[in-house]
Amino acid sequence: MSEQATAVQPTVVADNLSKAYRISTRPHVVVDRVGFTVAQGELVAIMGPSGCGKSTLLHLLAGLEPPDSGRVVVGGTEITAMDERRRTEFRRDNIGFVFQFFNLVPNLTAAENIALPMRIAGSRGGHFDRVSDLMRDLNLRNLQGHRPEEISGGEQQRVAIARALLMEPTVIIADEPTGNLDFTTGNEVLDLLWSRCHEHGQTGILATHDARAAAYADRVLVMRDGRIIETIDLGRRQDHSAAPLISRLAQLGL
Amino acid sequence: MPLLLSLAWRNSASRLQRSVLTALAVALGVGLILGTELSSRALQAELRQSAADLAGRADAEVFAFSEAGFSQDMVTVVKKLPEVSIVAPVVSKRVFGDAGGSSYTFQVLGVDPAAEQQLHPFNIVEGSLFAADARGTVLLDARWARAHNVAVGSTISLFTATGPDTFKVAGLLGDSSFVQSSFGPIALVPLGIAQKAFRLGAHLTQLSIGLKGSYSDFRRDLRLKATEEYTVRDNQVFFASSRNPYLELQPVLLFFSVLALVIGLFLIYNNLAMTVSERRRDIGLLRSAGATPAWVRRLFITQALLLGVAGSVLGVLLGIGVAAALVQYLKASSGQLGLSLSLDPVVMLAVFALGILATVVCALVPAARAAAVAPLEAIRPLQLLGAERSRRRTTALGLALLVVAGVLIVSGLAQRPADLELPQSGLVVVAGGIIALFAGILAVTPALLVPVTRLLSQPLRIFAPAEAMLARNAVIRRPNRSALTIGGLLVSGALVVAVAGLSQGALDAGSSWVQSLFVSDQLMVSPVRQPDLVRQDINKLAGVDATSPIAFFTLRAGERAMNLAAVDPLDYAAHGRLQFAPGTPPGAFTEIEESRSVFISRRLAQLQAVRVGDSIPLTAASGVLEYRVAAIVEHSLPAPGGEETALISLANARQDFGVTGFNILQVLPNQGAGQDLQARLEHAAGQYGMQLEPVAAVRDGVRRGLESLLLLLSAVGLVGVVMGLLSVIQTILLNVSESTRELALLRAVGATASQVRGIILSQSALLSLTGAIGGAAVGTLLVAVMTRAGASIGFQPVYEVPWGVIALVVLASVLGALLAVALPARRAARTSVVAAIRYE
Repeated sequence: MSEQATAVQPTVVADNLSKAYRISTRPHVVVDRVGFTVAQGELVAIMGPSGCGKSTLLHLLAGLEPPDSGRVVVGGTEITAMDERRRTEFRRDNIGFVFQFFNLVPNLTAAENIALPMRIAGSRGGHFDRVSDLMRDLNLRNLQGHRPEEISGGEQQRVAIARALLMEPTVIIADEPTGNLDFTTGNEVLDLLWSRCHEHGQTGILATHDARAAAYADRVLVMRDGRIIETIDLGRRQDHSAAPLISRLAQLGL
Repeated sequence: MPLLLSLAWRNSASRLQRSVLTALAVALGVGLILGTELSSRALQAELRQSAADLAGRADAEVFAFSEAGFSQDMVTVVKKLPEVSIVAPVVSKRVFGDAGGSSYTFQVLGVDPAAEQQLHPFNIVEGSLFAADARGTVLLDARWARAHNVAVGSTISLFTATGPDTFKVAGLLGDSSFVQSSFGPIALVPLGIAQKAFRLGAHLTQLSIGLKGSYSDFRRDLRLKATEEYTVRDNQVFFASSRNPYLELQPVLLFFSVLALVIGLFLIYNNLAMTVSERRRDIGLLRSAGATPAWVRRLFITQALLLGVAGSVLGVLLGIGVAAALVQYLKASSGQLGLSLSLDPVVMLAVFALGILATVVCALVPAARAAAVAPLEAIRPLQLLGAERSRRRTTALGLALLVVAGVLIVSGLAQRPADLELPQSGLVVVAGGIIALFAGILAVTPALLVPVTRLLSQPLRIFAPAEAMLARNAVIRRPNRSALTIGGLLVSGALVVAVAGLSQGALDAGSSWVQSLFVSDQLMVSPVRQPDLVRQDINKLAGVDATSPIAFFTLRAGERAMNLAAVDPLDYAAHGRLQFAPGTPPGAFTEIEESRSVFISRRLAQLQAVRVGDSIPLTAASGVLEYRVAAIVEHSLPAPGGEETALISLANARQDFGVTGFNILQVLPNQGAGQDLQARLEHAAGQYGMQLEPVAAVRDGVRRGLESLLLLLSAVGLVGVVMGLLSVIQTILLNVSESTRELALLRAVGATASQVRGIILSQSALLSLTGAIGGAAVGTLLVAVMTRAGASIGFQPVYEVPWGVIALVVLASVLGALLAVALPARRAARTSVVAAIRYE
């Protein structure tokens, strides 16, 4: 599967990315010369213990913050070469981002939250059909007028994914999307992500420390201390069983 | 206690901007109250002092009616009255003179230095007092002399009965009763010398009296024994009743200051309430670590104390500055030259304590809320349950208050009898109605937020729909906070608009009555009565069609003195614009021309308690003549001393009271008279020691007097608007700090930095626009109410919507609010998305 993916033009290219934060006076390297590519339709999981740099790597890939060095190319466009404004607009149109917490604007309804990127892009009404299609697809139809505090965590996360999908992004990036959810709800969210990549050809990158979630991916990148120490190819599988991944991780002593 | 203090200090310091805004708000409130109070005390002290200066030790003044003055017989009679201890005779005469190369009209006072000194200290600041028989010496007002380069030892020339005569300046007078004359520079000469120089014989114009008995006994005996016509004044009553218009503004100024303090208190409340909501988790932690509810309450009260002390210290300094500025302003605008600021420590301490006390009172509710936070509750999300129900209750209360306000205002205004002043009880009811109106509006504002902001955000939606929607959402999410913020701006904006609207009406009322007093636009004003021959000369000038004279004189009317202005009724009938009170019978002009009758002003009618058809006994040399009141006019010509006059025909004045000549000549130009007429008139006026004054100049003088007072009021009101803006800024800062994550989320899903800035600026614009427009609407309503409530006899302000001021208030509020939040908006837009999402 991975050979198939690398044969075509990659959708996401991370080229020698580094990022350090200054804690007191000494810089603390969070992402250290990371490089990989993700093909169209591929779902890649980034695994690793807390503090290994997963979230920061996702932020760099989504253009939420600039790297200290290295390049990020999404859909053939180098986003690290863009200024802040163009990067924001590119993100709005091409990258869907789902956080673990705080995904929704509290005083907007579910439908308004989903429509947000289009409203921000200046749409005055053309988004209605798209929003209701997404709500139907994601089984959110009855929650249209509900505010975030009135719906469950899983529903909130589905609304966040619907919003991430609204602009038909090339890439969907999710940071611990199931970290806050129970087993069943978590599965619903992962099924959804998988089907977007599998059936709609969108590219997915998710960060998780949960092997069960990572088992949905075609490929798993294992991080430690800011570096990718291992790549595990799982291939596209319908059953999402975590057993092969867990045994591979065990083999690696992780 | 040190831990409490240290935590309270850190809490305040960690939100430095908010704390500074809050302390500033307290400072403005405290400063305004202290400033108004200190300046008012300075003014009252000055009024007391000048009253004391004017009266000296004289208990009463007896004035002669006839221009010739009292004879020596009258002086002897007065001296013999059992209640009288000292009599200081004075003769006064207005004459032309030269000093330092320029001509002036001097008020010459002939005084007996020995007697005078017992009643009025001379207060010689330079040179010395003259002897009773010192010829050719004069005392001048020091301030006037210095301003006109006249020094002790130099000479001035006065026009005496024998022509110009030289007088040597013997001394200069500081503040004293003598320099208070309002008729140009004064010149004091010894009594005997004045009587001789001006050929006054032994006549006197005024007697200052020191009493050993009671004033009422003196007045009774004087009435029984007097041999000549006189009027008498009780100095104690007279000076006690002299008021300064600034003092009448005092309650309004104080109201604005209190309003400023109230807005400041709202800011403190808001600040602490926010701190409590922000620090719920910290409070929970403190509680789980063993802090009792009382300890938590003390923590927040200590924080309020810190803000209160900082604000009040700053406020006292500001108050001293405000008072100093007000004193300077009053010195310049109202001629209260002796005014000086005294920093009363008791007042300063009281206002300082008031600032701190008010701050602590404001902290009680947030502190109680903090103390009620349970250790576990702190980690639960905010409970909004019950908020909706309590909001409905507040709205219902607000609607009830608005109904009460309407009933109070309408019933209060209904207490006003036709064409008369609203009684005190009516004013109180109307004031209660206005307070209920404000309270009602504040209570219904949260419910009105949704529709009002929807309406006001419409224009914004055209350009930036997403920003408009999100900004509106932020405003309506916390309706109570937004409503309080809007309320501060609304109340102050409403008052500024109301004051401006009322002043515009007052100014118009002021200027229109001035116009109505004269038959022509060109006036020749003389400091002394001019003979009719002068009028004939002016009539002969090319370009002059006719002239209409006005002569002022005073008569005794029963127990009182009455000032009269003799005019030509036919001129007024032909060209005049006199405003008659409603119900004036036709033919009033014919009546005063052909019979013994007068027009009197509304105020005079009220003072003398007379109506049309009543008669007034006027004392002439030949005896008492009954004059009928033919009509009541809104305003009449003011006498040179500013008193209201009754209008009488020239023919009657001449025939019954021997009045000839004129004080003012109204010049009616020929049709097509050229520009050079003005120059000819000026030249002619100069020849006779008169001044040419257009009516517009008189009207401007009246306007300026009113304007300077109203300007002061508006300035204080504007401080209220600034305070309202401070509350807008604070609310925006709080909203921004609370929505850090939300704004970052927007950035993450594609909102650009400028869009985030737009959302914050739109919030600010929505809040300030709602407040300012609400303020303008309520202010306009208040103008209507206050115009009707404030109308009185002789003062009929016109209802006028002050569009200019409304535009200014709205524009200043919105621009001020936008400018003020520009920096926080920029900072919020630049916040790292990742850091904000991580924020917890």
